[in-house]
Amino acid sequence: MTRARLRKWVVAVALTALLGAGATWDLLPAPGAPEPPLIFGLSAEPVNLDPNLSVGAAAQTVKMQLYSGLFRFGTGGTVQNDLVASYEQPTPTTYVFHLRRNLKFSDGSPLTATDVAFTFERIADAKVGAYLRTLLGGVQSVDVVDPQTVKVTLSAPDAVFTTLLALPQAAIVSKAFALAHNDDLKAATLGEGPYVLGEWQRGVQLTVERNPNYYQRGLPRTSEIRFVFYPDDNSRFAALESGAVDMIEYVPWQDISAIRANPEFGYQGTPGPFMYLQFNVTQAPFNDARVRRAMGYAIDRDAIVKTAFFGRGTPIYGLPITKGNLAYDPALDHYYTYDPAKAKQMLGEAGFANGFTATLLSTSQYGMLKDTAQVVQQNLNAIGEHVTLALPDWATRIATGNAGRYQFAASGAVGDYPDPDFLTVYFHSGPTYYNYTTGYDDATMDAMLSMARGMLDPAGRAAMYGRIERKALDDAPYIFLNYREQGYAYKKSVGGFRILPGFLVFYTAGTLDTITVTN
Amino acid sequence: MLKYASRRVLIAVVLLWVIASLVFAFLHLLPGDPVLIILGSEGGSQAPSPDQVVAVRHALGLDRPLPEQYGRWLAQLGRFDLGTSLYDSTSVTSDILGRLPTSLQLIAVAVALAVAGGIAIGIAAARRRGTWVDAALSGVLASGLSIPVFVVGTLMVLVFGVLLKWVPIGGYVPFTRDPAAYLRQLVLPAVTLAFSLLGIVGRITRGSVLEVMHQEYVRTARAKGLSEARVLTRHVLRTALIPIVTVIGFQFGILIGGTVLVEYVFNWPGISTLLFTAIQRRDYPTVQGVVLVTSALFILINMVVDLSYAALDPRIRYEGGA
Amino acid sequence: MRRRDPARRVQVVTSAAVVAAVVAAAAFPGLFTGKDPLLMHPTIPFAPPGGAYLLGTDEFGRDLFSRIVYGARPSLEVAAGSVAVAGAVGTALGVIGGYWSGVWETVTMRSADVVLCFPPILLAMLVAGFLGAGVGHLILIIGFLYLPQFSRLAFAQTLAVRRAEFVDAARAAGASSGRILGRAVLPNIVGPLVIQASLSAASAMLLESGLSFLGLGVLPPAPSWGLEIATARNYMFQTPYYVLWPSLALSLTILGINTMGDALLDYLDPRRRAG
Repeated sequence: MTRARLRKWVVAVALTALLGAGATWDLLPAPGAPEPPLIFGLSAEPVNLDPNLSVGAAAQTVKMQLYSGLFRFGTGGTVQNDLVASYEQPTPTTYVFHLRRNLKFSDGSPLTATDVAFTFERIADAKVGAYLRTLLGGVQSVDVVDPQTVKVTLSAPDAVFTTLLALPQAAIVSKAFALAHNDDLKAATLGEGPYVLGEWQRGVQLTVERNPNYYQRGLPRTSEIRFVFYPDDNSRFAALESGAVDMIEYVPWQDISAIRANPEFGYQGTPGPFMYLQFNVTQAPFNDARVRRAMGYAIDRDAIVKTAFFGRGTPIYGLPITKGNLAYDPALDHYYTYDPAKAKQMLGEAGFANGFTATLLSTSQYGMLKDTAQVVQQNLNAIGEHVTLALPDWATRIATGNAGRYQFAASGAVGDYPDPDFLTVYFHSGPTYYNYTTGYDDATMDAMLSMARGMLDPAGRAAMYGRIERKALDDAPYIFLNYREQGYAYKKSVGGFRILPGFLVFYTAGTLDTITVTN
Repeated sequence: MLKYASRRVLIAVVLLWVIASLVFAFLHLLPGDPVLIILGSEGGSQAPSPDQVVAVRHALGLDRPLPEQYGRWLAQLGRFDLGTSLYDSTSVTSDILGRLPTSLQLIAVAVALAVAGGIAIGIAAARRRGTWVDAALSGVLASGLSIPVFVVGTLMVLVFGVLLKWVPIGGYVPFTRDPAAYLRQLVLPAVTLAFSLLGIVGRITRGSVLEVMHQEYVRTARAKGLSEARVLTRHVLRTALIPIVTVIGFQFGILIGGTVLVEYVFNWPGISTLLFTAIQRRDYPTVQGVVLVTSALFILINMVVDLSYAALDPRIRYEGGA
Repeated sequence: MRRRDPARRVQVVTSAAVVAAVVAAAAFPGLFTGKDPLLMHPTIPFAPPGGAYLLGTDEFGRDLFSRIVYGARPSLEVAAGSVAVAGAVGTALGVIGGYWSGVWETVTMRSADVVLCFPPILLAMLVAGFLGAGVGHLILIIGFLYLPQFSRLAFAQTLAVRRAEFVDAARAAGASSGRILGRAVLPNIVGPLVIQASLSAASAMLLESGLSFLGLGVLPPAPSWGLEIATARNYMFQTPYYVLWPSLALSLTILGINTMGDALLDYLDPRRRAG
């Protein structure tokens, strides 16, 4: 072979190789579906995917794509049927649920009343650690009437029963699948939601793909959602700005104004979660209601909103109950004002004219809790109190709180559901829990709360809650500080997104099935 | 030689066992209940009921007497099973295997950059000793030693990520998915990590180059008419290389530790951030597993360095190797 | 070449000045600023530098300059405290091991090995993460971590001295161990120990700032440079210069200590003067 021919051969082979490489480059591990996926910047990696357990809002967002429950929350926050087609309530304590026809799990196996009954059992099982075990403790029996019908009997009438069943932690699981996996659904999933679990690259991202057996025809509109984990606030926001993701949750407060002003992005936010002070009412100085109420006047809530939340929030001068809620009473909206002089006077009357000494517990791990605590400390020290901060890491904060080893603490939470019964966990007596006031044990309050939950008549309930609210404010086992805004931001190419209002904001993920992504 | 090597291996194994036991004791004798934390940490408003806590604790095997838990753990270790995470039931071994390579990639690139840069700067500084150039270059090296790695990283993010917007901030794309993006992400953290190591390598290079430069045989080589470059590579560098290699081996442990801060600042999903999160969550099995693996690596590297020293220098073998 | 070149001299003098200023700030912060680093002005968060607030204000409207000044104290406290602990205890262990050998040697040297088996920051993370943060804890943790450096050094030096002839002579003459230790051993090891102390001080400061950065060190609202950097990171988009002040303060201080340590090394060790 002559030199020239050899050279030609080499060139030909090289060109072919390049061409082939260029052509096959596309076939390398690629996103797959021809339709653009939704790339979602998640604020944390889900700890596990068991739908009946509660392990944080980020995990919740993913689980809501994979599972459905008997009911769900629709836009505006109303309870709607999900797996249930219709139901009756023959007696105040009996519910008969009729499931939709032809419901299937994502692998094609049928979803029947047996699975519903099993889910109830599972939630009631102590060793599963299901979130709703206590709340659904009133369920006395669950009977499988026929494959489409379930009859549930409660021990007492419950005004929030269907609301509870709309919570994502009440999602229905497959009995066969659960038993086959030793009832451990943390990593193994078989759901009936709009999506199915795809690939989970630990530490990086998690993909969910359209469930062909989803009962709602035409949904989900997007074939795939890729949840990329961005635990760092700045990175998550930067990822949206740079276009690496289409949408993020938990928009950092300092960035909300900027993104709202940016025409290339959409933003939806709502106040919902709130900050508050909780007390240990078994020891001085907070065993005196006057001292607690003085806190209500001493704290500059506007300063908290301005500094800790960059202005994205609203002060609460009463209870975290807003207009539209059954129990809303406008007269109680301004129970407190910002009046340091009055606070000092009240403290003087309670015997602390020279200031009390106390430690405010919070945590160094979450900026909003740390910052809120710093402002509260400042406010109190400015009127002559002697408050020191304890800012351990989160795990220690929980341990200390659960043991009741604190005097007062700055906390944040969100109501579980928009019904006023959410107040029960805060004001009912019960075991010490890190997020609740320790030692508040009032039989009257307990009785009123139970009664209000069992009253099925809305007018009667509203009146009862009026009384509960007044007592809650007078006894002041908590001082509520402010709402904080919770927001989602997304590229303009993302359509069909609707945030859920108020307490339901963290269940907004349930509306992702109607999202569309255009190129 | 074999006797020396087997002694070292035995010592290494014993050390590992001591560390494993110390970590176990430390974690289990601490206040704070992982069960309550697991059930409550981001669990939302509902308090777990006492019997729920008992049941979960039993399911996780945390209510067995300590010696039994210890025995179980040692047995697991014998099977190279590091247990399962308390949080998400994944195998600790697979978690570590998933994250360790990303850390090692970072370290490998950083070491390469630091050695190349350090040697270059060290030589340049040595050749111009006493001048302002030397002072400036030595200043750069000193900065590498003094400016904390997380400060370097944060400033890098500030300049290249926020102000100039040349590089994406955070978010990790694996190599297989997009090599170009992966390399773009790797640059800043690798350079950051390299910067501190560069200071040490540069200094040692400068020091040994200076020492060697004026010795007889080098002057002879120069007199013979060899070019400066050949003199450097042939004679000077070869001698200087030994302490450099030693110090890199020694610094490896510091590097593994240093990656904590770099991974944190750049959101690089490596093994250090795995440890950090596990500590925060009191995920004992994961903490134990990572500590053990990191110590094992550290001991292994030190042992390799020791053994290669002994292979090169017979005196060490006979002195007993304290 | 024995002369000190001018570039070097400038370096050493500047470093000494920087370190002196930092120590003064730590000891007498009131001399540098009249403002309270903890006082919030919620109406002026992120005020730009200049005017009443030399370096601007932070997210709570607190004066940044004061926070930098007061931030010197915890860093220096931890550096000095941990070196003191490591130096005292480590030296004692090393001398004991080196002088009496046998069991003592095994105990002190092997335990040093165990401590060295593990990357220091990870160990510190573990302990601080589980036992809690704070200056006191850090001093103990970092002191413990740096023990081996001192004990090994003291051990080697003691060993060297012990073998010297004049020690044998002293023993033969009936001198007690205490006298020998005090008169012969200790004075000889002071030099290297001081050098080690300065190296460890810089290193301790690096470690402390790293831990504070991770949230495992000094706790808010007390200012500390590592913590300030961590907080300022969150606001880099809005206020880029916020992160610069504590970064500069920290880096310059450590650089200063390192340069001083080098100068000390040069001064005490004649061979090194050549380079």
